[in-house]
Amino acid sequence: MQKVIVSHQTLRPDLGIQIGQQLFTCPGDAISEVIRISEWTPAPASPTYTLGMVEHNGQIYTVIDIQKIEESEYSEGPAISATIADNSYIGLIINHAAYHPIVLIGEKAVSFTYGQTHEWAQVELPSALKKREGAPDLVYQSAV
Amino acid sequence: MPISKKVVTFTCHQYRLAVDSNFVARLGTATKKTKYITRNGLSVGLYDIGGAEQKVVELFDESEVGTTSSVIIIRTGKGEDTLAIRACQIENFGSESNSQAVPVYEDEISPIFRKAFTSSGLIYFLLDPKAIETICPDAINREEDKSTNEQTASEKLPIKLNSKHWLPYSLSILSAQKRSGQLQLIARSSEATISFTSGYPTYAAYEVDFGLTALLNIASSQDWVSYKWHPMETDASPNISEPLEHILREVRDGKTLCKK
Repeated sequence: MQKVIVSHQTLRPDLGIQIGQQLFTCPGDAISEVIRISEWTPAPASPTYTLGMVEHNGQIYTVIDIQKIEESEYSEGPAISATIADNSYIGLIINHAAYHPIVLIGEKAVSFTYGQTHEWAQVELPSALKKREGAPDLVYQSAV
Repeated sequence: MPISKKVVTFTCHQYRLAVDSNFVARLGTATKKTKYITRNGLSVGLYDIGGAEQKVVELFDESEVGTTSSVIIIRTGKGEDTLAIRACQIENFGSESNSQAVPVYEDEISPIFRKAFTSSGLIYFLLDPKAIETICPDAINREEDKSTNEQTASEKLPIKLNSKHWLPYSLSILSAQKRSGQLQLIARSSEATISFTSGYPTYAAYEVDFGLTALLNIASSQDWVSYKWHPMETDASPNISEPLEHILREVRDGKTLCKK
């Protein structure tokens, strides 16, 4: 059984998550919410970057471990499943018309100065997660 | 207002699954008789269902020979053909009215689990039987095959293959017969089952290449009972391809084959 607790944080376009030594965010209005996730439903025969599914406000979201999408690029930090002892995760909901509903999972939520992320590196998401071209880029950088 | 669908929910391995009840012919139990691996990563076993030998798709984990499992018998789009799915546990009949596309699947098994829905706070993945039928046609229990198989079950094809092609692998096939849509090879008091689906000649031809792995395993094992190769394993030596191709072609065309 999945259990989702909404944290009711203020929504900001300069909000992101941290996993290990990496920061991830999606500039613009694609981030709709930050939620806390303690469990999810495993998805059969899914790619390794998919941890499972969660239901939130009537919508089923795919939970993505973004580190595993391009694991070699983000190899500085340990895998997410090994870093969080209490099995409680932060989920960054990406809810944009160009994306299928996904949640990026991380250790904690972080905020950035507005405009700080314009020089960050782009994450190349699998095409299966995109509905169409023109999706705002997911970006990352190493934490200072 | 979304249209509500009646579904049968079940568990399989660690997953919660469901199938549209309109597809379901009946539920039952089945005892596994033999196992083999089929193409596209799906496992298919031969089970005893109500005294009849039927193929059963094992979606995730294979059960042991001799054990009994719950099965969901699903109608396919053609006459009395059926598709049997093994379940760890059949839960109940429920309904879903808001299934959503699951976008993450890109591999070839993906069409089977394209949609998910929530019910009583749980997420279920809606299984698409037509997708299984498409990607793994030899998993279908075909009504028209029964008479064909019954007719040919006792008709051993006079195949003798003590040819030089087989000797390097210590393989001596004494006879062969078509059984439950498969090609069964008899050798040295043992038997092997090799994929061969009647009505799918191109399918059979396609699997010639992949059959090499099966033959190597057959040759190297003394205790096999039933074996079916995985289509992705192609590392077998090519010099035994011709005999197998002959077998498949001759069985397919209903001719006989003798080689010395």
